[in-house]
Amino acid sequence: MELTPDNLKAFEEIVARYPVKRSALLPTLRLVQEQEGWISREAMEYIAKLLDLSPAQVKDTASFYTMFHLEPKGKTVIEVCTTLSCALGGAEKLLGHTCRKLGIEPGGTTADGRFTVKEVECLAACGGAPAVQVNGEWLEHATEADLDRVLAGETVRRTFEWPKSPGEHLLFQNVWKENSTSIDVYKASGGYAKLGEWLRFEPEILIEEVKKSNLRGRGGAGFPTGMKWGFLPKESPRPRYMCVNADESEPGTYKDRVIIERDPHRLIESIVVSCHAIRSKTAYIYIRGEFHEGARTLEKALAEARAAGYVGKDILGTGIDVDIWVHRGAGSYECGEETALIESLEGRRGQPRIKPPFPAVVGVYGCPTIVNNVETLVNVPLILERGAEWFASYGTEKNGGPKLYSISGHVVRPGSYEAPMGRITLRDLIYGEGYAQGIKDGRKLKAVVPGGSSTPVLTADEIDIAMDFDGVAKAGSMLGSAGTVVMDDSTCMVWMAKNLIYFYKHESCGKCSPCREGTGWMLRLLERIEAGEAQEKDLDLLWKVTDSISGKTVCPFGDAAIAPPQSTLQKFREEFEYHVREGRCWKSVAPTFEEAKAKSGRAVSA
Amino acid sequence: MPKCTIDGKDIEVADGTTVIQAAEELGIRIPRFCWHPDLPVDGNCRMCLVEIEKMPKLQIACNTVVRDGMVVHTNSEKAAEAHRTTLEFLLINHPIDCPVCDQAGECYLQDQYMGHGLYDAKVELEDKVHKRKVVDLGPIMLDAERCVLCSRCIRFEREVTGTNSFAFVNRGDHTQITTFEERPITHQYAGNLADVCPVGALLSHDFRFKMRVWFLKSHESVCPGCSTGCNIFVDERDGEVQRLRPRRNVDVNRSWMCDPGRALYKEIGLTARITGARVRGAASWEGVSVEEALDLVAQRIKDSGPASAFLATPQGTNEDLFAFRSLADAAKGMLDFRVGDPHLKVRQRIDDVLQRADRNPNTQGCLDQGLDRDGVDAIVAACRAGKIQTLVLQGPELLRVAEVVDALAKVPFVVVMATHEGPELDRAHVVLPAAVWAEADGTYTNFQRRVQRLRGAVAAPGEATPRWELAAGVLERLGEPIGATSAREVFTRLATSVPDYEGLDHRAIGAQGRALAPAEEATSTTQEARA
Ligand SMILES: Cc1cc2nc3c(=O)[nH]c(=O)nc-3n(C[C@H](O)[C@H](O)[C@H](O)COP(=O)(O)O)c2cc1C
Ligand code: SF4
Ligand code: SF4
Ligand code: SF4
Ligand code: FES
Repeated sequence: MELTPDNLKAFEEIVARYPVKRSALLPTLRLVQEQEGWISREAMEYIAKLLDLSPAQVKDTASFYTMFHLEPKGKTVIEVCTTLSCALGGAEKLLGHTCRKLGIEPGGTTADGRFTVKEVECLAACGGAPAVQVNGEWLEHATEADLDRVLAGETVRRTFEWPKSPGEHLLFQNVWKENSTSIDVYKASGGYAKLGEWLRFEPEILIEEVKKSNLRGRGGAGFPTGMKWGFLPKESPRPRYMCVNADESEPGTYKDRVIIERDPHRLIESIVVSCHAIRSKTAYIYIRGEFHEGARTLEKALAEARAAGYVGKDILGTGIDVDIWVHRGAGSYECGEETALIESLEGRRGQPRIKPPFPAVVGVYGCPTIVNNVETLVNVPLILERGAEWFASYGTEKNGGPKLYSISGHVVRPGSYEAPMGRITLRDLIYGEGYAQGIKDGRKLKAVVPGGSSTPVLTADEIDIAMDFDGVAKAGSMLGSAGTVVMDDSTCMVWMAKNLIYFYKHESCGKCSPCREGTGWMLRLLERIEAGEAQEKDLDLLWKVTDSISGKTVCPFGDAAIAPPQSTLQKFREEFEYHVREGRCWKSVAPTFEEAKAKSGRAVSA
Repeated sequence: MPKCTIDGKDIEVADGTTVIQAAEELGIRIPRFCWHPDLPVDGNCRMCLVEIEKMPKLQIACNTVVRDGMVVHTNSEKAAEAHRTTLEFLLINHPIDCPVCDQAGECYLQDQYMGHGLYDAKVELEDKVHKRKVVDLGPIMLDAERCVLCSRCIRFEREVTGTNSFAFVNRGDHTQITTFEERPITHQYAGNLADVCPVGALLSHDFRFKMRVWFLKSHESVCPGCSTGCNIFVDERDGEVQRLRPRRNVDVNRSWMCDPGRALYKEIGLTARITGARVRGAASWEGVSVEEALDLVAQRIKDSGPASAFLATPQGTNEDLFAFRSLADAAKGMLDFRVGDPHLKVRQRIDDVLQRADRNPNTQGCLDQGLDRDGVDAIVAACRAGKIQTLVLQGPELLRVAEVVDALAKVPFVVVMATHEGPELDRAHVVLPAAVWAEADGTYTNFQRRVQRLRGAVAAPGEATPRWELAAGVLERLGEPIGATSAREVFTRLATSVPDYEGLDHRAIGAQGRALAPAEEATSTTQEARA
């Protein structure tokens, strides 16, 4: 096999974007897959030659990512998200329906080669649950009828309609506008107007402003952005890089996607000025592979911005050069972790590096690198425009600025909402008229994952907390990426923990032993418990396994993975014990646990 | 130079030293799978967790740099518990088949779980992820089921050989080690893969099922395969060498050696060894005792005087060379060693790893002792002109050179010291049985001018004798005894007369060798030192 002349040209252009050839590996695999339908052994050898790698290195990388097909696949690929929010929205039924109709198992391809159906992990479409992608195009709020039409050969697309948030829209000011992705709409809203002015500031002044603003990273850890920028070594002759983390994969989180798909120029301008602040001439937007539309939108916007002189050499006559490239992932949650992201950008398996050294000192291509989340960066122009003091006072103490909150699960009006950081409570977010408007179907709230699947679950009594980093931490959980997943009283918490551990087992990169082996172990235990086949001591064993992972892994994924089983075991132990004692899930007995408990007629330990 | 305390012992270490290295210096072995002293740190196995005072979480010893005042506990309750649980994780998907595994006795996993009394740990054997059985990769056998995914083999192929034949495929607990399409390993450093693999996933085809390693006795030595002089162990059982394996020396070969070097053990015990002396009679060879042969040789050298010539061999130890040179000096004969111009290749690399073009271990020793004296061409010319009555060859090299057959035919008496049979020996008149490198003590000087010791690991067969002893026997008969009865004493004599070797002796050279001032670059053709 060989690339067609056109694709070969595209390949040459891709290679030119990176200082190191291997970085072109993921894009090249994608190019080959688009041309051939899949990636054969011959294709891997061909790619190895193109990039001066060994075929083993190509396979090492290719086989890591779920979006690369090393076996032939169907003409139409239907991908059904089964992670928590979508599962709460009926994804498993939808998947079962589709597979049954085609007579295949999840992951299988029909004999005639027309359809492949895959079960995939969180697509950052949690509000649009159950979310499906058909050949990479969104089909949110998918129904069995939709899938029937797809199977009949129709093209069915549907994108989630983000509801408007109440109050002021700063980050979201354009997203509901007609044609919001165009440069004209962005400019009409004041975009790019001050870019030239900002680029004429000394970088240190910009960093100082960001420090004063109390902007904290929105990717999950809440690390102060200005301080991170300050870690760059002052006297390094090496080029510096900006990696924009657009991998948005934390279950429950779908807020960066709004910016990317609806207001790409806001992100581009933010990247340009942030690159200037850290003296970087090159930024890579690492966007998760499943964001097909997002990648297209960004590419188009970048072309406009380049043509208009906002990106590229000597921007607006300031002598500042900033190049921005879109680098697409290929199906791996772990690639959102900053060092795994860097490895992936370098064309390797998405496995993290041990720290130290930290990316600010030794990052991509061995050079000082800053990794920032999309939402983090779009705050930067706001700080420069309105001043650090304004920004700091917009949120709560030490939690400056506006915040994007995604909410999904059993709520009336899921969405991504903007509000001043910490000025709303978790209760406001769930029940507020301007927000999610309460629990669906008049049911009762049972549990909330406040900040994405990696954050410990909270009970219905624990929602009167300010939605900022410190407020949620005080309740024993984390704001994380502010992806809130709400569960009503029909939800079995053992099932919930199992659903998320399935996710973590599927996404564990496999580098370190506690997480690689421990996630599978926890899954087997939870499956056993849910099926009613476990014994009391298995609950203790489950706890012990979480404990053996805690704090012992290469990256924070390990600690993230144990949040669901640990917090559910702590707060909903009764339900676990019920499964053990009764030998079945309470859902087979009654619609809520309270009713099931009453029916079992026996006292239950607290 | 930060100071730290590990398990109650104080140590001061160089800046940048990691906790695992500092512990190693103290003789404390922190459990590990993925860390290897000569590969980049990867920190994946999480076995080396230690408790460090004032740090809330356990830290991996392999990537934690010692800071001044650090107090480390490698076996505190918390640390020991972490070792135990990590081990449990590793055993979940590992077959416990030590009774039939060739790594048994050299397996970190086995050591560890025995140490932790985890024979029947509550690991769920029945649920093990199914992986394939043993795959033949040429010089290496791969048993992926035993792999603990430490990535040492991948790092070795990336950093050392640059061959990148191994890959992890898939991810999470489906990750598997393999080569592309299970293709065989084709580079010349495959043996190291079996060495770096901490468990029995990569095994040497050559040694597989041969014997349990605990029957073997190891002797420190140096590979005679080329001028690099890799440090090795000679592993022997009951006087028979079973394998060679690298011995770590950061200044020479780190932890590696090449496969051709590794295979050299096979020649030691070959049936084609020469085990006794022989003299050419009127019609055929006649066996004689070494003593008788030496009497004859001494007589002929005495008779020939300056009409004798001597060719040393760069295969010989410094001790062999010194005794041989003393003999040439006593006879006042011509002397050289440069058959095939090894001195031009001594520093020339033939790959980016270890091997050098000069397949002799001691060319530099010859040069240091001034054996490049009269020229091989001049000696051959003298032979051809009928001016040489007695030619003493320390090795058979010259006999193999087709262009000189006519010249040799003009010499009435040719003596050769040889280890193995070969047709070329028929061009000599006396054959003296020589011991091979593994059968005698001595030293080689490698391409860097590093003097390194090899030790007799096994006894020489029959009457085979170290070359220095053969030369010393002749000197004795010439009335000019060398005044030494062991290689160690010969070296001490040598050290008094060879520049730069002054003050050295076997003990001072030690296990890691001694570097002399580097040689002039005149003969060097390639760049040195790859990190
Ligand atoms: C398992 C894992 C997944 C992550 N996924 C994301 C992600 O999808 N997007 C993101 O911005 N940060 C993610 N992070 C956090 C990044 O490592 C990093 O902290 C962040 O991008 C830094 O940007 P910030 O300082 O702007 O928040 C993840 C971290 C871990 C441990
Ligand atoms: S904790 Fe370990 S196995 Fe899990 S994702 Fe991080 S590095 Fe990979
Ligand atoms: S084969 Fe051996 S060296 Fe390679 S990764 Fe597995 S255990 Fe480590
Ligand atoms: S490189 Fe030379 S000295 Fe080292 S093992 Fe190979 S042959 Fe022996
Ligand atoms: S030896 Fe330190 S993590 Fe493996």
